[in-house]
Parts: sequence; C-alpha cells; structure tokens
Amino acid sequence: MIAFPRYIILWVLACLVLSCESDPCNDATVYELDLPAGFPAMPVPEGNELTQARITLGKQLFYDKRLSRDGQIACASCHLQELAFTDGEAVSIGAQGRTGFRNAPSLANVGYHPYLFREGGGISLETQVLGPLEDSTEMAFNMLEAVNRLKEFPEYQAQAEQAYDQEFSAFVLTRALGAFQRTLISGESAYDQYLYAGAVLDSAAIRGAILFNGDKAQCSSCHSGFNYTDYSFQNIGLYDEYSDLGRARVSLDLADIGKFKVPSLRNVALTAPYMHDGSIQRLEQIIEHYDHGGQGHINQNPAIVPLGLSTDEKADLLAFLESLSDLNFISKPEFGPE
Amino acid sequence: MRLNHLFLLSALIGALTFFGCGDDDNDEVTLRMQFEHKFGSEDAVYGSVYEIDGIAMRFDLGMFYCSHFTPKDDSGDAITSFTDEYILVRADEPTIHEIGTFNAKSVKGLGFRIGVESSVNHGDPANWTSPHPLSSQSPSMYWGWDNGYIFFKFEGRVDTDEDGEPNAPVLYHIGKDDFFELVDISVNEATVDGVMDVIVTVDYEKLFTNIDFTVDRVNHTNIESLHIATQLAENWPSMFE
Ligand code: HEC
Ligand code: HEC
Repeated sequence: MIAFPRYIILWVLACLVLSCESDPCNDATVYELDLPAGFPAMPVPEGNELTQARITLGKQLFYDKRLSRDGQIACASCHLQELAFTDGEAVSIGAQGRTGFRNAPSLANVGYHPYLFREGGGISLETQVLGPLEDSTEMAFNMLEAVNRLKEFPEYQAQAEQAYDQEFSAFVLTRALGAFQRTLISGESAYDQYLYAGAVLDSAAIRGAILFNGDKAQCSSCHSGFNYTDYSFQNIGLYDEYSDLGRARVSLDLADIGKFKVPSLRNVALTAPYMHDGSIQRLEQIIEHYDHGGQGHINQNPAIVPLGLSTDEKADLLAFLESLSDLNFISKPEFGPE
Repeated sequence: MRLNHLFLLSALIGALTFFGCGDDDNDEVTLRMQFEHKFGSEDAVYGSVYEIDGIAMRFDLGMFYCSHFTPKDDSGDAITSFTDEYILVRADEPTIHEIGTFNAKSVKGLGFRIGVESSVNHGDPANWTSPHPLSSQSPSMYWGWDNGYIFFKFEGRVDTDEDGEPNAPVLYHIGKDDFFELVDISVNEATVDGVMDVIVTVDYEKLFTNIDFTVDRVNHTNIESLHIATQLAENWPSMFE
C-alpha cells in the first residue's frame, strides 16, 4: 500500500516540474464552462463530463475531413465559426457536391438544446453525430468505417486513452464531438452587454426589444429565454403547403406538418439565409413575413396573425435582432481550427 | 480443488439430479439459431435475380434484428424468455447465433420478435461495444436524423420497364416502436450433446405480400407512406418458418 502515495507524490512533482503549457495536471480535471450572465447551468450527460482532453479531441474531430468518406468534408465545412457555425448556403452542400434539403443551423449554445435537428429527431449531441456522418448528402460515411479509419492514427489513439481511458471507438468519437460542441457558448452580444454590463445600446434596438417581448409582436412567446427559443415545434405559416413536413417526419402525426424547432436568434444577423430551407435571404423579409401573418396553413400557430407594424417598428425590430450578434464568439481562437 | 471436495460435489450434484424436484427428466439445452435465406424455394444470394409474381427482382441486401426469444414446450407454453438477447441477421453471413441455455424436457416452438423494444430502440449505439449487434453497423442499422434502430432493411432492384432486367431501386428501411412484430415458429430439431440448432427459413418473397413493389419501391418508414411500412411489418411474421 506504499506505492499509492508514492505515485501521488510523483504526479505532483511531475506537475510542478513540467511546464503547464502541455498541462498534464489539468487534462483530466473537470472543465468549468465560463457561463455568461443570465445563462443557466448546462446539462451534461453522465460519462461525458467536460475535461480539457475531451474538448481538445472533439475540436480536432470537428475540423477533420477524414470523418467523411471522400475525405473532403469536415463538420466545420458546413458549420463555420465566422458565420456563427452556419455555412451561408440556403441548403448545405456535402459529399460530391450533393445538396441536402435543410439549412445548417448555428451551433451557438447547442449544448442547451433538449433535442437536435429541426424536427427534433436527435436525442443528444452524441447520437446526433450519426446524422451528418452517415447522410449521403453530408459526409456519406459510416460510423464503423470512420472509427476503423481514425483509430489507425496513433495521435487519436493516444488522445482517446487520455480523454476516455479506452481505445478510439464510436463512443470516444461521439462523446468528444459532444464535449467540444458544449463549449460553443455565445452570450456576449451588444444586447447582453446592455442588459448585464450597463453598456450603451442604440435606442432603436431597445425599442425593438420591448416590441419583441410585448403583446403586439409576441415574438418572445416562442423565441423566449436566454437563448431566444423555447425549443418547441411551431408552424409559422411559411407555406400553405410544406414540401418538408418538419416535425411530422419523426412524430408521424399529421398535426405536426410544417412544424420546426424554434431557432435561437442569437447571432441571427450573421446566419443568413434563414428558415429550415434557407428560403428567406434577409431579416427585413422575415419581419415582413410576421407582419403579414403567415400563409394560413392549417397547423399555423394562432399567434401568427397580421401585426400592423409601422415602418419605424419594423426598423426597431431589425435593430434589436442585429444587436444579438456576438463578435467575440465568431473570432475566439478556442473555437477555430488550430 | 482437492480430490475429496470434488468427490463431495459430484455426489451432491448426483443426489440433486436423482432426487430432483419433479423436473427430473429436464435437460440442459443450449439454443442456437441459424437462418436460411430464400426467395420461395431458391437460396437468396446478393446480386441474384428472382421472380416475384413474374417480375424480376434483384436481391442486394437483407438485414434485420431479432430479440425477445421465447422457447416453448409441447403445449405451447413459454419455458423461459431471453429478453436481453439481440441478434442481427444478415443474409450474406451464415452465422450461428447462440441464444441461451435453459432446462427443458423438449422444445417444440420458438417465439421471437423483429426489432428491438422501445426502451432500447432510442438508445445510443455508441454505448454498445463493437461487434455487439446494437453497436454501429456497416451498413448502418440506425437512423442518425431520427434516432432509433432500423428493424428490417431490404434492398434490391426491380424491373419497372418490363424488359426483364431489374432497373429501379427498391429500398425498405423499416423500424418503429409499434413494429415490434411477434414471430412464432415450430421447432422440430433434436438436441445433440445439449445443443439445439434451430434452422429458421426466411422467405423474402413473402415480404411483398399485398405490396405493389414496382410502385411503392422506397420506404424509410415515413409519414407519407406509413401504410406501406405498416404492411411490410405485418408481412414479417409470415416470412419465417
Ligand atoms: C454537409 C453539411 C453538414 C455537415 C458536413 C455537418 N453538418 Fe451539422 N447540420 C447541417 C444541417 C443542414 C443541419 C440541419 C439538419 C436538420 O435539422 O435536419 C445540421 C444540424 C446539426 C446540428 C443540430 C443543431 C440543432 O439546432 O438542432 C448539430 C449539433 C450539428 N449539425 C453538428 C454537426 C457535427 C458534429 C458534424 C460533424 C460530425 C456536422 N454537423 C456536419 C449541415 C452539416
Ligand atoms: C409561434 C412561434 C413563433 C413566433 C410567435 C415567432 N417565431 Fe420566429 N420562428 C419560429 C419558428 C418555428 C421559426 C423557424 C421556422 C422554419 O424553420 O421554418 C422561426 C424563425 C425565425 C427567424 C429565422 C431564424 C433562422 O435562423 O432561420 C427569425 C429571425 C424570427 N423567427 C424572428 C421572429 C420575430 C422577430 C418574431 C416576432 C415578430 C417571431 N420570430 C415570432 C417561431 C416563432
């Protein structure tokens, strides 16, 4: 039983001697998320507690094109940091230039989403990985084959051992990507600075915020809370007939046709084009859509009615939406490729 | 173990068997399953072409999950049930699947289900270590965008332009909590050295009963054609013998 304390002493000595640049002391300790004001604690699944080693591995995987069959597409190909982790396309372009049918959503604060994808079929950030990885219009690969390919790289094996105490596997790959994505926190917009740090905000944006949260526009009945979404599935009457059935694709319930997860509006001025299919180019057009009251789809939410907004009110709403951009988030080196 | 201990132990086992609790003629049986894949009476082989109702169909892939194995006695009562066993059957791999060991006088029937139960269905494949059947598979047996297992996958090509050559893809990727279909087969195999190898015949032709497979060729258990997916799932039990 003497060996145990001896190891500890050796370890402490090693930590003291080795420079903390490669930080052997902190790799396995729990990584505390630096949450902005107004943000609740983030739920983290058991067995994937955040550590620096896991986050580092996840970031490497996120930027690694070898996760796609032809080695041409990384997660980051469609989730670019400078666009708040969207891709600027109406619908994403994946393997062999094939187009999907959905607009890539921002990954800002994605760790708070109770389910993933626009119809909510992804149960966790871990299982969600199978979506893009195996979709023929995204990375067109297979989890088993991806793991077999990546485990041949000694650096991945070593990182897997360090981060999860096991060899590189589907478990390691999916957990690490989940860990990295949970660090993608954005809460330092001009509006946050105004709310929590006493910064000055343009008066139009302040009037827009009041309108956004008030009874007239009712935006916050869906885009509520610190992340500007209640994560519910809503039909906002974009079409009178939806070619993409939305939530009904997973619930198999006709009453869910045209319902999509309410998107967060953080960084929305950076994430054009908009909506599940990228069909709207500009924020002004979205405001017009809501002011108009929708196309009257049978499943349209009753809160979507003509709003009677004045030209000034529309400008105020726009100013508010533009104040939700977090320029720090899109330039932080921690989130970018090495 | 010392010799006298061994002796005592075997004496004890002997006594227990001899003065058993009424089940004295029960034997330990290890149940194993093997699948023979067919189109009617022909062997089903990837890349081969078969005729269904006179229409040419090429067979490219057949994979499905089985679980909840329940061996039955001669009066049809369950002897035991293996609810934590899962097997993935692949038409291109002749595999002997070991199901479990139990005590029985004789086994006359076997019940099992296609797919996996709802509590497991929406779990994470990465929680199972490869090569467990529920871990990630190639080809994939799990939906990444609507997390859940594909219970039954059939792929091939069918002749839709009536030239006798299969041309149009047939893709059935079917799975849904409600489709946890029960299959019941009779068992005639004998136990040899404590092992019973049950040979199950799977007839893919019967998958197409009441399916207009030149028209309803592609199904991912989607809402637009859920009635077709439901019909396919209802056809599963009749495929097995
Ligand atoms: C070809 C482009 C493409 C690639 C590559 C890609 N994604 Fe996506 N991603 C999308 C699109 C499009 C969606 C929206 C899909 C949907 O909702 O149906 C999406 C959705 C997501 C979501 C859900 C966000 C939400 O709000 O629900 C996450 C998380 C995500 N992707 C992470 C990843 C990760 C991790 C990878 C790499 C393993 C990856 N993506 C690769 C295009 C891509
Ligand atoms: C009934 C719930 C609901 C209400 C009320 C609502 N929204 Fe939305 N909003 C949604 C949903 C759902 C979407 C996504 C629809 C889609 O993808 O087809 C959305 C999309 C958006 C988008 C596009 C985001 C993106 O990244 O694509 C913006 C901007 C937006 N809403 C702003 C507003 C404003 C401003 C108001 C008030 C005038 C408002 N919303 C009221 C539910 C709502």
